[in-house]
Amino acid sequence: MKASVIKAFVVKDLKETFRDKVAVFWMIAWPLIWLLLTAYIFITPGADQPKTMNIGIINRDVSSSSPFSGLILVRALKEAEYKGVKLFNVKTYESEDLLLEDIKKGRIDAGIIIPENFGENITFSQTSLEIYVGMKSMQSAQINRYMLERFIEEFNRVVSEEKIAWAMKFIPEEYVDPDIVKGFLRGLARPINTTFTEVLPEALISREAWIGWYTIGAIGMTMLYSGLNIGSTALLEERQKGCLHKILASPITPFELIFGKILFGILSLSIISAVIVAFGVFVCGAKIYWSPLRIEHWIAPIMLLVLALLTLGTGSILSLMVKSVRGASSLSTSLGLMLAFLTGIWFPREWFPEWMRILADYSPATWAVDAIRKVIVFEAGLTEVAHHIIGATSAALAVLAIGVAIYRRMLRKYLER
Amino acid sequence: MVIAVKVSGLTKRFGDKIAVNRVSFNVGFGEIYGLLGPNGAGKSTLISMIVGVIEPDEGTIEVLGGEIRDSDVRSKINYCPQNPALYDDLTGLENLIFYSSLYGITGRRALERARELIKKVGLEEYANKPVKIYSGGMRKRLNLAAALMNEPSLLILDEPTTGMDPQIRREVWRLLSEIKGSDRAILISTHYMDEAEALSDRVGIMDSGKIIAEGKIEDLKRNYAPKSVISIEFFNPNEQHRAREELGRYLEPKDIVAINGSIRVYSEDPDTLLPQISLNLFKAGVKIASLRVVKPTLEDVFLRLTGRRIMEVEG
Repeated sequence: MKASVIKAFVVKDLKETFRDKVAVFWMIAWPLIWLLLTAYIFITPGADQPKTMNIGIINRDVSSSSPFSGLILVRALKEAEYKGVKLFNVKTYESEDLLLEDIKKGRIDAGIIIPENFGENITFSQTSLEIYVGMKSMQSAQINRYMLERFIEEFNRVVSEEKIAWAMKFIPEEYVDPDIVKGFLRGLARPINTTFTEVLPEALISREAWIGWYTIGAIGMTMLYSGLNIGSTALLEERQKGCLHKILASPITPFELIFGKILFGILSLSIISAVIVAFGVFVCGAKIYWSPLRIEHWIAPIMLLVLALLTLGTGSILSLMVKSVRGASSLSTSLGLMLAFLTGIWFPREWFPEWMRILADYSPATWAVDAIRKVIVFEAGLTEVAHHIIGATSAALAVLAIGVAIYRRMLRKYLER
Repeated sequence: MVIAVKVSGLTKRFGDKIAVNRVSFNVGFGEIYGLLGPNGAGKSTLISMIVGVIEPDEGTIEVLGGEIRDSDVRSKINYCPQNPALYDDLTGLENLIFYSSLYGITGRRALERARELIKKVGLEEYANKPVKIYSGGMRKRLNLAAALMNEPSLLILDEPTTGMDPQIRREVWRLLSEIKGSDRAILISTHYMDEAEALSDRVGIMDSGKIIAEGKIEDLKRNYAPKSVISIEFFNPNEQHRAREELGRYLEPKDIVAINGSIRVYSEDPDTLLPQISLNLFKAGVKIASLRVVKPTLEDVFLRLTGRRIMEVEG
């Protein structure tokens, strides 16, 4: 096997590919556009911050002198914060009809009607609140309802503490232990004191980590359709240009031709991956952990290589189904994009219905992408991704072996035709 | 003559059709061997077998004293396909350098050789421009340059000037004559008689997959063509039919050939026949534009052998 021959094919194919504007658009510009849109439209700056709800208030308890009046509730809503972010934008309404109309039209997320004597009732007995939650979408309704429930629970806690403190003034200390009474009263007010502790992966919380997730997704998506494309058109293109005849008349071996084509595919996919990572990190602000000194981080380039071999091999299988370069390109691009969207490479598989997740669960390309994501976005260790690595590598080697056999068969058929 | 290519009993079938039928010939160093025949005669298939791109069903090919599958043998030959094998997005120089790499010629040596050849084929001005802007003739010339990159001992050209204008064809002929040498054999396939006559030392005439005649051009003409040819042209091509009927009264049908509105009459004694034809056609009222004795060409050889014209078969 002559290195100069293989280098000749690689250099020639790289020049041809990267001088072709359409190829450059699909291989580089297209994934970068997706990444940019995702980073600045779907994951807007601040998307990892707590949500601020727009709520409307009708306060009919304006004259109350109670320490827990409607005015206090409104002030508490206005001042509520979570991680330094204001939770509610409060707008005051006079009419219930106007409030409901604004909820229906999506101008506000929810409305609260504070009844007359709210303060008096909450002080001496029990009061009520009417809350309307907008159903713009099921998910936003769930979030809005949860936020208001949490706020009211907290308000209840403060009020009950105040009321217990006030009630304790009337219980003589010499008869009963005040702590026992206080505990009993607390139990009456809130039998279960729930504590929520957020244990979401630290990396996933930040916008930068999400963009990192999508950056790897963009590589996976591009590798799928570009790899399939390169794999399926490698020999067809030479044949269609009329160059295969001349190449086969030269002293090179079919293996050198096939190896040159595969190496070109790997190199061009590596260049694309490097461009996408650089764009993701430096333009979109993706957070990606990679250090050459950490052994487990080398899983990422290895899995990229595996993904490249997998897609190139699959592409060569596709070439059996088509007769022209145009046919091969159309088939590989549509199949690649479809697989990227359906196998959890671009969209998180959690978004899919249960039956559709099967595709992602059994896709070797997804295993490779997941292994990369886990290591360089979520800082997973080697053992956590070992099953993905073994599965993806075995599949890639098998597909590549089939691909090489198909290429050899194509060349043999060409010679025997 | 030292043999560069020795083909014996070569046969290739595509299904029921026999494309090449028991063909045998030799090409020697220092000569240009022309394979002349109409399109579909089997020339390209024969060449594809010689360069090792198509496997023959029967027969043997010996190239430069070895097997064509041997990479050492392949590195000493080169092949210029009928349709230019070029990459549109690469420049002329880059195309040449790529093809030279396949023959192990790389780096500065490849660049120098590419520059030299691109100058030789008159494309110096376009050397660094992408091939996609080249005209058909320019592509053909670059295709030829690519086949010369490894300074082959055996150069095989499949219809090298098809589609070129006459001036560029002559330039290519000049170039091929220049590169001809005692250490090089050239095998060229063509359906142009003038090309075969201008370039070839020996010609193999192919028809329907067979070599029907072979030899030096003068020998072929002497053996297969008549001593002379009387060419009759008419003001009105419709007169051709009447003239043929008239000539058929005293000449053998095989000696009268109608071509594109004119008639060629084969004769061993043109001095006697010419006045006779003139008088008889005049009496029959056929208006003649010209009547003259011409030298036989390879076309006449092909006509005599097959009863058809090379170009007729092509159409």
